[in-house]
Amino acid sequence: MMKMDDRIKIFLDDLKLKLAGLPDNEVNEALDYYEEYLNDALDEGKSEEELLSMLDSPEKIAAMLKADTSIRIAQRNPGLKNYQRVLKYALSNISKPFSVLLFSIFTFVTYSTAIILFCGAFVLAAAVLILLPGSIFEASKIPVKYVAEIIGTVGSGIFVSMLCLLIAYGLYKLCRLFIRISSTLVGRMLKKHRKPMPEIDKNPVEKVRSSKLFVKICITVAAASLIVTLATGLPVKLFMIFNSMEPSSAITQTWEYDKAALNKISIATAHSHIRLEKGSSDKIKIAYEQPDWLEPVTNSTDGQLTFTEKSNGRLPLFSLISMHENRTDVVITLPEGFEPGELKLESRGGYVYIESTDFNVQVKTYTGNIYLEPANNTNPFGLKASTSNGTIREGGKATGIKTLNGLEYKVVAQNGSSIELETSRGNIFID
Amino acid sequence: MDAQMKKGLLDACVLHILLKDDTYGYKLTQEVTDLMETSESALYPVLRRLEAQGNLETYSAEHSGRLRRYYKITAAGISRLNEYKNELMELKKVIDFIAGGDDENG
Repeated sequence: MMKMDDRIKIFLDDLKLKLAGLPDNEVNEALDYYEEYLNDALDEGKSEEELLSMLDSPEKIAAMLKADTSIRIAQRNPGLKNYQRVLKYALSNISKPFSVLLFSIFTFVTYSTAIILFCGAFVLAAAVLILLPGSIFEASKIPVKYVAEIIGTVGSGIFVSMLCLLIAYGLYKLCRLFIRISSTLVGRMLKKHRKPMPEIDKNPVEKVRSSKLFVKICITVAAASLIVTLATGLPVKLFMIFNSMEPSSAITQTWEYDKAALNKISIATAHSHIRLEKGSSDKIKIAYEQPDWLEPVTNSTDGQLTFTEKSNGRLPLFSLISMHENRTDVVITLPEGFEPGELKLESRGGYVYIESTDFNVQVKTYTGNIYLEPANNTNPFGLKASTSNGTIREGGKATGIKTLNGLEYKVVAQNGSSIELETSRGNIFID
Repeated sequence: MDAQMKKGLLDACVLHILLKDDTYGYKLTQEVTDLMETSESALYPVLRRLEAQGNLETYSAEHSGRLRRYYKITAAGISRLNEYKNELMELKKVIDFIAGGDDENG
């Protein structure tokens, strides 16, 4: 056996230094191989000089090994960090300026795509941390007697969470697949730049057992919660509200007041339409079609009537839903010649129909339209209509003057009567 | 030889040499470099990869006072070699056609 030459020792030390960054076992394997190789060569009687001139420089060997190994590792375990190594080590194998430029573009595009996919998965998974407690919090606000709605709210929260987890998992897998394919591409590109060509692992195996179980659990829980949620009828109800469909069970309630007893009237609904009509009797009448997720609150003291429609707490996320209109009405019938000191009609999501211009009225909506439909009325009336984001149409034609706050339309009447219409996102129609 | 042409040939050569007998890095390199021009240090990545793919396995045996790593072809390696051979036979047809073309015309 020959004693190791100093220069060979230096070669091996140098190689070890240059291989830094690879996993220890890969470094040791490579060093063992070259050490054995050099020993064998010396045994065969080759001179150290001859040997070292035959071998590539440690830099070149290390660059080649690093690129090959990092690609192999990334194919086995396609994570962002491993892909980072692939790109870094591959670059040191490329020398032509144009190729370096092309490779830089490739690096930028593929690495940012991988990061976006990974972040997408992360954000979706993190969203579950908000969705799940959020649905439980919403459910906790529902009165205990509405058991079906409580179960439905929690159930839909679980269902959406599981859906998010599954999509997050899909994105994560996509990210890994993308990294694996990109690593393979890097391998292909390197082939053209040097010899020998790294052959790509054709069938890299990945551990899938635990992740398959995860997908199975997610799908099972999602399916179970979907079935339970659907059984509670909550999604159907929400679907109907969001599409402004008529509730199947609306009970009409009526109230009657003496016109002498009232001076101020204020009506506010969440998402029912409001109709103002002129009646033939002497009474002030309010007719309300009540859906089973809303309840009316009436209060009449000191000549002031307030009618408010509010949630009975049965539906989750009510403040969001209330921006939608309902197919139920509140009809206020006022007797002829009635002159209230104040008449206010307000609806968040519903429309307001003014079917008589005999009364001074202030109307306000958020998303709903306002319709002014004077039926056979020749009396002149004053009008002030304004909308922030909607349009104003008179007899089908657009009208109004643009102001800082949106559109405004004014008609001044000699007799001092006034109708004020105001909406933020709805349209105003005057016929 | 063109770099692209050597693709796969190196793998096939290594597997073919190992089919005859188990051998070690230095000897393997000598046999391959006798056959085609390639860098002396180039074979290690090839061996490492073939090992990772399961086409060969290694074992250590003592030789004149130190351990030497021997490479041994596996069943998967043999079938991979046969695949290479089939591919090369196709290539051979083309080579024969190109090389034989002159004879037919002449």
